[in-house]
Order: sequence, then structure tokens, then C-alpha cells
Amino acid sequence: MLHSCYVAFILSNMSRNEEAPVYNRIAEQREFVGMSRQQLAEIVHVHYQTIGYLERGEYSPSLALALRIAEVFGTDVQSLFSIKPFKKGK
Amino acid sequence: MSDKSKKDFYWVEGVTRDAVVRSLADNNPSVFRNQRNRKLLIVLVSFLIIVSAVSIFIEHPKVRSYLEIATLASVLILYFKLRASVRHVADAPDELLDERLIAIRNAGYLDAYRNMGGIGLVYVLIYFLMVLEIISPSRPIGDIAFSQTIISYYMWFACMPSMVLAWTMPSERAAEQ
Repeated sequence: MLHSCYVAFILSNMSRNEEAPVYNRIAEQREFVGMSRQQLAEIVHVHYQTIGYLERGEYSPSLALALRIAEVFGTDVQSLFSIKPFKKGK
Repeated sequence: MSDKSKKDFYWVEGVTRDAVVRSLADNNPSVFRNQRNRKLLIVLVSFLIIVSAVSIFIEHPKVRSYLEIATLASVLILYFKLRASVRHVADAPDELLDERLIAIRNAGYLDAYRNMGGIGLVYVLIYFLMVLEIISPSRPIGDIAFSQTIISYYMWFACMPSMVLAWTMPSERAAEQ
């Protein structure tokens, strides 16, 4: 039990990874092809809420998921995801 | 969320495939979609576990045993509610979750581990205070059965991952689909 207290103390001093946001155009692309979040979620095998989190930029996808989403829209990852905000209308 | 395995019951995790799949796909309104209600549930479960742990100080054996049974039964019922309130994410195996849910679950277990360390420390401190007869000086420590305290610690263990997720997961948005 004391060991677990010690480990808990060590872990509590470790900071969590603060990741830079990843911007995306999933919502724009999804609306363009007339697809619902549920439909996209089923195609890429994720929970429908995950699509919402991705669109709002509250979750950054793994490379595999980003590639799967890009494949659905027939585009490449760079035009769908960026570490810089997308310019409007582009 | 891959279908690599077709297990119906996950013995180690203590969930069924059906329960997890249904829970994740459930779009019906529920009081537990709201974070505030989930926090109230956590407070209630925590209160009951604490009552269960301190019931050892009650001197009247009949009252003590009734209280132990009542708190144990209540926590057990609320434990299942707690699991369902986070869509069984805390207990679900990897293959039934997507990468975001796996990340949330894993981060939750880290916090749960930290919390259990803190709770363990509190239990140890209370035990030493009892040994030193600072707490409960009227009853010698040899007369106290600690089985209920040990059970209460296991209750924390069982509930903590779901508690952490229920506390940290934001309220679900309507019309997410």
C-alpha cells in the first residue's frame, strides 16, 4: 500500500502532454458530400461522438485515423488536417 | 471498435459485448448524459462507501450489521449505474472502443491509480490513529473487525475508474449526430 502511495506521488508530479491543436476540415468536407457524423463514424470505425470531437478540434486523431478519414473524402491528409488554421474559402 | 474478437463476455473486464455496444450506441436521453448529475452520483457513492468504512465504529452489533448490508447493497446497485453512466468505457476492452475512448479510459485509469494511492494513505493514517487510540479510544483495536473496511477499500477500487471518467467526461451534446 505504501508502494502505491509512493508511485501515486511520483505520477502526480509528472505533467500531462499538452499537445498543439490540429485543425481540420472534416465538417466542411462531410457537409459537402452530404454525410452525417454517424455515417462517417461507421465508415472509419469510431464512435459517432469522436467525429464531433475531431470536428471541434477537441481531439487530434492518430495518423491511421487521419488517413482513413482522408480516404473517405478522396483527398490527402495535408488538405484535411493542418497544424495551422485553414484560411477561409480555401 | 474492430471486430477481431467475437467474445460475448469479457471475464477480466466484467462486461458483455452486448452491454458495451448497446451503451455506446445509445442515443436516448438520460440523466447521466449531464456531467452535474454524474458528479452527484459520485458524491452519493463516495458517501455510502465512507459510511460503510466507518461503520466499524458502531458499537451496537445489530445496527452495525444492518448498516453494512444496506451500504454494501446500495453501493453495488450504484456501481452498475456508475458504469452505465460512462457508457461502460471504464470497463470496456480495447476492441470495443475507438482510439479516443481508449485514450480517455487509459488516462482515467492513471487518475484512478493516483486517487487509490491517496485513499490508501488515508486508510493507513486512520489505522495508525486507531492504534494510538486517538480515534475510538473506548474500543480496543483488537475488538474491531476490519472486514468491512477492507470491503470498502475494494469498493473504491471497483468504482474508481468509472468515478474518474464520470467526473471528467463533459456533458454530452444533443444532436451530436
